Parts: sequence; structure tokens; C-alpha cells
Amino acid sequence: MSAGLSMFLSYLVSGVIIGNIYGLMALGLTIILGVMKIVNFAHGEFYMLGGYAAYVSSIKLGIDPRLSILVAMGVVFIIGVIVERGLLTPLYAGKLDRPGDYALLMTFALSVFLMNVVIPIFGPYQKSSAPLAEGSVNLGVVMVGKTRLIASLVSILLMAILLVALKKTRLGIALRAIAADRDAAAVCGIDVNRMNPAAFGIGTAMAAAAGALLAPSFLVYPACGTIAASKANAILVLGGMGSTKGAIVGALLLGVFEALGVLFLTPGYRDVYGFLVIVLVLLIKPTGLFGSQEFS
Amino acid sequence: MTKTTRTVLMLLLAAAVLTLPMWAGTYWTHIGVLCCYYVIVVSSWNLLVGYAGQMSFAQVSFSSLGGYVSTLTATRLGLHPVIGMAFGAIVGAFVGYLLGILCLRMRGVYHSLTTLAFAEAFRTMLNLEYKITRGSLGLLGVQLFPGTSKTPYYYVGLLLAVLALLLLYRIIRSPVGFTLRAIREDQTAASVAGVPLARYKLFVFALTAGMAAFAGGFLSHFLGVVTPDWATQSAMSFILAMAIMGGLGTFVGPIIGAVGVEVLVEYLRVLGRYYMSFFGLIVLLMLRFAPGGLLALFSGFKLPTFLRRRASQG
Repeated sequence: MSAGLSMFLSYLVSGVIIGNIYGLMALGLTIILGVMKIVNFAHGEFYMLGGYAAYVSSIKLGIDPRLSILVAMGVVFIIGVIVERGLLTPLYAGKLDRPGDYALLMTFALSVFLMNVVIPIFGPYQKSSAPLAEGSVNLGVVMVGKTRLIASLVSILLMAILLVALKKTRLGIALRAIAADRDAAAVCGIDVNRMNPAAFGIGTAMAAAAGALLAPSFLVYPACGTIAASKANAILVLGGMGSTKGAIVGALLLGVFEALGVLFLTPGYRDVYGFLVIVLVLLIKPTGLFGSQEFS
Repeated sequence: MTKTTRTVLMLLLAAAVLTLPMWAGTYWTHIGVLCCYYVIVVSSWNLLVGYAGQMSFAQVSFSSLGGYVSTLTATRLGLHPVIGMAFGAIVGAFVGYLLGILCLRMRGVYHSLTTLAFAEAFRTMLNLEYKITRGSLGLLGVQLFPGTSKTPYYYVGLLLAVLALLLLYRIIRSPVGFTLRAIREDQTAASVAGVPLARYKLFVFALTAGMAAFAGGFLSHFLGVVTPDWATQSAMSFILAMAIMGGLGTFVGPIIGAVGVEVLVEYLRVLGRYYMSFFGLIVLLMLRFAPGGLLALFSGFKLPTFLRRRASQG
């Protein structure tokens, strides 16, 4: 195998590995969008909180790093529910002229608040949580750190659990029903207002999982969620808003697209490729790859 | 309040604003210049978002673009800062026009996402193109006036702010302003009624971006430096907070908001590293409990049309 081809393949593999973790992030965003019909502009900050929770749990409290991911998800789930109850309930009270814009402004303000509130607590410097495993694995074309490989596998597992839960469990069916038609779901006896905190909590916990999984390899700092969020947003547009399939396929595509962009274009602009994706998709196929209004 | 007391109060306020450098000292004159900058940026954002209903998170990208273009024109080409500011405004308006074209095809969330993604991409570019922008160090510029006195800046800033407000006021009261509000309320209906949506949206995008860029150019020649920090989401949250506290979609609100928040922030600085989180908390509580702005909360005159609670549904 030529050197060029093996380099290409190694970038491809690392793109897929990182893409899975993006997928987790985007899936959380999709669930919130589907049920609550809002784009959570603070999604990146829940990712950041997940990273910090994993750091505190694994380094400060000495909890097993793999268990720390669950801790991070639990902590951020609770924060997510509190945020939804405290700040987002006016969306459904029917008193706002433009609930969509309210949600955007509110989650944007929330993101700036969360970004700044962690500075006095953890300081502005980068932190790293404990690695999930030592050493690396030879995948034939590329050596991958075990931590990153485990992170990727865990995120596939979490996505699978979530998708099955959405298909099979009562809660999942209720969430899909609301995503399809809020009023009809309410008529059928689903308590739609109780599902909002559930959706927001689950969605933010997914972001936290992504943050916790990436915390050992990409460091945690107050603004680290911004980049992750812009990627999740790009995936949302690429895959089609509200489509779970689109979120996962879009995440893998973005991961690969970025890795190849680093290889063929300049590495510095890695985090801008997401914007390029948004622009291209919206110009060529505005509905995204699997565009639909509900979960599918 | 009777008409006479109102007139007297307005005259007193005008006199206070006009004589500020004489009684307030250097520090507050400095804040006064910043207020003028914010009034222009926030009021133009208000035209775009509050009146035309085109949500955008890219306003600070344009003001920093203006700052960079103006500074580069002055330092690299050796032209007078005023020419730099004008050139910055033109470039800003042009980029705003391009972003507007991109946003024409999008509605709602897609629209906001695109402006946010643009802002982030632009900020990344400012950081990475260090050969031109000196990255996070910021770009040192040229002062508009010789000497260290801030008084001339204050009066120029005040003049610019007043001119900008006059322009905005004329637009809001003109048929163009009514059309923009029609687009905000229901763009399909406006389109059916014969409004050329694209032309109006591009106009308001280009105009507001150009105004922000002009203000940014002025600020860069006042501070003598422009950094990528101007273009961050935290900087955008200031614009947002000012407009919302004053009342988005009203003419006076964002002016009061800009001055009020800038002064408030100066007092909050005593909180040290806690000040930005405290500020963020205030914005969140504001949005949650008084989304129509402080004016609506206290007096009830001039109900903001944006985010207003529907009277019928209470």
C-alpha cells in the first residue's frame, strides 16, 4: 500500500472515530429540537459541563474514569431539567408572541452565562480528565489511542440505546408522538409539558456524555463547547433537522470531511469546515440529507 | 408627568450629555465614548432584529470587521483614519449583503444558525490569519486625534451616534420601516401583498452591517487597538443584553439599554472575576421575567411589539 493511500485511510479512520462522538452530541440536539421545536444554542456548554463533571469525578474524587462518564451524564441531566423548568417554560405558556426567537435568545444568553460561570470555579486554564485506558491499538492502517477508541465505542453504544429506547419504550414513543404532532399527542393523553424536561434532560445528558468522552483527549476549558456546538449545528443542517438518522450519518460525514480537510487543505481551519458544510448544504439541498419534521 | 416637566427633564438630560467631559472626568468620558459606540451597534441591530425580524448573531463580527479594515487601511496604506472608517463601513456593508444573500433562502432556525456559524468562522479566521491580524494579540492602530484627551472622541462619537439614530428614526418612520415590520410579522403575507422580500432584507442586512462596521472603525481609532475578543459570543451577548433590557423593537429602548448596561457593567467590575457570570445571570433573569424590556416592566408606555405578552391571553 502506498504511503499516500495509507495516510488517507488513517485520516479516514480517525474521522469516523471522532464522528461517532459528534453523533452523540448531534443526537441530543435532535431530540431537543424534535420535542421542543427549539435549537439549543447552549448545547456546547452542556458538553463543556459534562467534561468538567468527568474531570471532577475522575481526578478530584478518584472515581473510575469509565464510571465518571455516567456521573457526568447524571449531573448534567439534572442541570438540564432545572434549566428547562426554570427558563424555558414560558415557551409553552402561550403568552409569547415569538417563542422561537425567545428560545434562541434565552439559550444564547444561557450559553454565555454557563461559559463564564465556570471561570471562577475551575479557572480559565485547560483541564484533562483521567484517560479511559492506557496504550493504543493498531487498526492496520493507523494506531489509535485506546481512550479514543473506547470513547467512540461507548458513543455508538449510547446512540444505540437511545434509538432503541425511542422506538420501544413508553417514554420514547411519547417523545416521538410529541415530535410528530404536539397537539395530537396531548389529545391522546400524553402529558406534553412533562415531556419537555425529559427531552431537554436526555438531550443535554447526551452532550455531557460527548464532553466526558472527549475530555481526556481534547482538553476541557470554559469555551471548549463553542467548537463542539458549531459542529453539532452543522450536523443538524447536514443531516436534516429533526432526523435521528440524519444526525448520525451527518456526524460521520462531518468527521470524515474534517479529517480530509485537514489532510488536503489547512489544519488550522478544521473548525471552520462545519460552517462551509452548513453553507453548501443550505445552498444545494436546504432540507438536508434526511430532512423531515419528526423523528424517523 | 406633564408636558412641561418632561420638556425640562429632556433639556436637562441633553445639557448633561453635551457637557459630560466637563464635569465627569476622564474615566467617565471614556465610558461615554464606549456608550456612543454601543448605541450605534445596538440600535442598528435593533433595526435588523427588532423591526425587520431577521435574527442575527453576527453584529459584532461586522463591528470587528470594520475595526480591522479601518486599522489596516490606516496602518498599511497610510490613509487617514476617517477614510479607513468609511472604507470599513463599505466592506462591512458588502459582507453583510453577502451574508444576507446566504440567509435569503433560510427561515427561522436555519437563519439564526447560519449567522451564528458565520460569526464563529469569522472569529476563528481573525485568530488564525495572524500575518494580517496578529491573531489574539490584536492589531495596533492609529489614533484619530493627537494627544491623550478623550474629549474630542466623545463629541465625535456623540455626533456619529446622533446621526446614526436620526437615520434609523427616518427609516423606521418611513414606508420602508412599515414594510420591514410587515416582513417581521408575516413575511408570506408581505410577499403576497407585493413586497419584494429579497430587496428589503438585503437592504437592512447591508445597512446594519455597514453601520456596525463604521462604529467599529471609530472604536478602533479611539482605543488604538482591535482584537478578536470584539467578535466573541460574549461580546455579542452584550449587544443582545442591551437591546433586550431596553426593549427590542422600540426606538428608545436600545439607546437606554446601551447606556444603562455599559454603566452597569462598569459598576459590576468590582465583582472581579465573578462579574461576567453575574452579568449573564441578570440577562437570563431579564429574559425570563421581563422579555419586553425594563421600559415595559416599569412604565407601560410604548409597549414593545417584540416578544410582547399578548394582552388578550394575559
